[in-house]
Amino acid sequence: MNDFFAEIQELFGLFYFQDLSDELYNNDIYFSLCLFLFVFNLIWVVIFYFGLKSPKWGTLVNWSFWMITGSSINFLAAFFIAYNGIAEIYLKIPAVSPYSYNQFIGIALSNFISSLILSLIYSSLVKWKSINSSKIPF
Amino acid sequence: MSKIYVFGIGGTGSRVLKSLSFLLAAGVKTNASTIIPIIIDPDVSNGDVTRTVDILKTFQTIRGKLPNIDNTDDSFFKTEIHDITQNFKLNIQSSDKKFREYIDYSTLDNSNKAITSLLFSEQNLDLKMEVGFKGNPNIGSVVLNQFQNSEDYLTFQSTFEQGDKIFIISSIFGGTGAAGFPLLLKNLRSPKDGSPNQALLQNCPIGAISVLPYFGLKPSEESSIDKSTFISKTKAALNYYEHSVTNGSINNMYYVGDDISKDYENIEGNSGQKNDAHLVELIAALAIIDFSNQNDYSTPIVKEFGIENDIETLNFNDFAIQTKNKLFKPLSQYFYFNLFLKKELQNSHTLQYGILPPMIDDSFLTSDFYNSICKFNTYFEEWLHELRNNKRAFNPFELNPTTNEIFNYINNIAPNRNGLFENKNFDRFIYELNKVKPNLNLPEINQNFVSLFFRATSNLMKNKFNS
Repeated sequence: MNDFFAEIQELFGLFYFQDLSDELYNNDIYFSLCLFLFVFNLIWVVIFYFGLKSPKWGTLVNWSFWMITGSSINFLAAFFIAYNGIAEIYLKIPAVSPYSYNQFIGIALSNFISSLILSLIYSSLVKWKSINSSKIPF
Repeated sequence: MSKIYVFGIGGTGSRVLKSLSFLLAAGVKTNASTIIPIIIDPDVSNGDVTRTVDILKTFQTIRGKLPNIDNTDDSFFKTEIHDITQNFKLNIQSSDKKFREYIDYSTLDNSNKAITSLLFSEQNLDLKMEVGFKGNPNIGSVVLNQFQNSEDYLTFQSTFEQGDKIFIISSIFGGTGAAGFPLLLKNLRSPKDGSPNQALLQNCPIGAISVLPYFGLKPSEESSIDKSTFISKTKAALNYYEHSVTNGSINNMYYVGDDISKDYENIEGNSGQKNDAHLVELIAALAIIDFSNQNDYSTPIVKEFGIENDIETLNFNDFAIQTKNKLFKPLSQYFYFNLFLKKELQNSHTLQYGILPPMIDDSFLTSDFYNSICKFNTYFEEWLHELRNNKRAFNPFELNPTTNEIFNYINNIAPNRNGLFENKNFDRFIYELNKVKPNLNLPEINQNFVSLFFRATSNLMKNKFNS
């Protein structure tokens, strides 16, 4: 299962950061990242299709705005989950984390992209039952 | 279902037909599949007639582009309006002659001249008739008596079928209507031997409404019509009707009038005679609905109309419950249909209800069909404004609202309160449209559009007003 989460988080090798990625894999931090990604996105998409009161939300522009916002939240969440997870490991050793902020931003960016793709997949699955947005995004 | 031939005589007849067309557009239920208006008015360029004809034609244009409407349960424009004569008018060989010339007064012998002088004043004899009979039923009864020879009347007789009904609208205090009604009734009940469908016409259900005075006219030196004669003419005509009209030759007789009235500009006829719509005309149109929905015509019935509250400005709550039940839901549905088209459709047709097929796209919004609806709705709005500004006024809707709370636009009827998670105002309307659209199994765009709004407004009336 961890391999599957790793594939998702690294976007099939596109976002592989060698030592950092290995540490996230070995310490099951990818699991936390994926759990948040899958659960949060599902809730976020369901809110768009069934929770938003105004039918005027049902446009492609609003859908895009909503999903980018959700992916941005995912970006921030991924950054902090990964950063804090690694920081905690090095605090126990104790040692200074050898990874730069840029590497964590890379992890977060991968999550942002995964989130966008997942939003599209979730949207395709749940939109049919929506009263206001069954034709959004397509 | 049967057809109803509705004869609208004179200016009042035309204005009642106008009100009827708005009721039919709103989906007021009739027990007739088709209404066939026939306007009898010698004043060919009368403003009221011209406007009514345009409204009826616009209705027909819209209805003609709804090919599947017969397969729907209820809808706006459900009842068909059909014409059998050109421009809905029964062509009367009227003339621009003086009455004296029309009856060839100069060729009469002395004894006939003497009796003519007894029946007609010098003013009557010198009256030019191009704009009607100017409040003189004694002249009208002579001139109109020739309509039974017209081709249009023959067409009417030929198309009449078993189960069809006839309704006659006339005013009793003018010239054309007061003269035309008894004549028409006489010709219907006693058709010439050998005329088409003679037996059917003799025995078919006939209803009529006689409109008693409900407006006055300002004094004018340029007009020969004097409102002070309205009551005496009404009394004389009622006395005549009692003995010659309501003595079994008519199945349903309706009377409506009002003692609170407004003085209109005193214009004898022509395009200048374009009176504002009046509540009494709406009530007269309701009489046609009442007549059409009746099942048993064996016993002659005479009906008058009353209101619950005798006040100068009425709304739905001032009617008796039966009238309110007939008018409130359909008129409110159409009011909200018009409101949405005017205020919200352009902003929201890219939302769910507009993009689900068939799409409400720019090509639909520039189509002849949509333009005809907009034109008809402009007349509908004008009609509501006129009803509100007349006396006695009928003001059921807030026509110049100062709030965005659209469900507060029905005067004196409070909507149900919104639930915490319910949409408000146009959002609520759009939500209903979004909800209805996927369930419409109507692939043809025009019918889909009309049914969509009919059902959405029906749901709104149910949810917001328990109607």
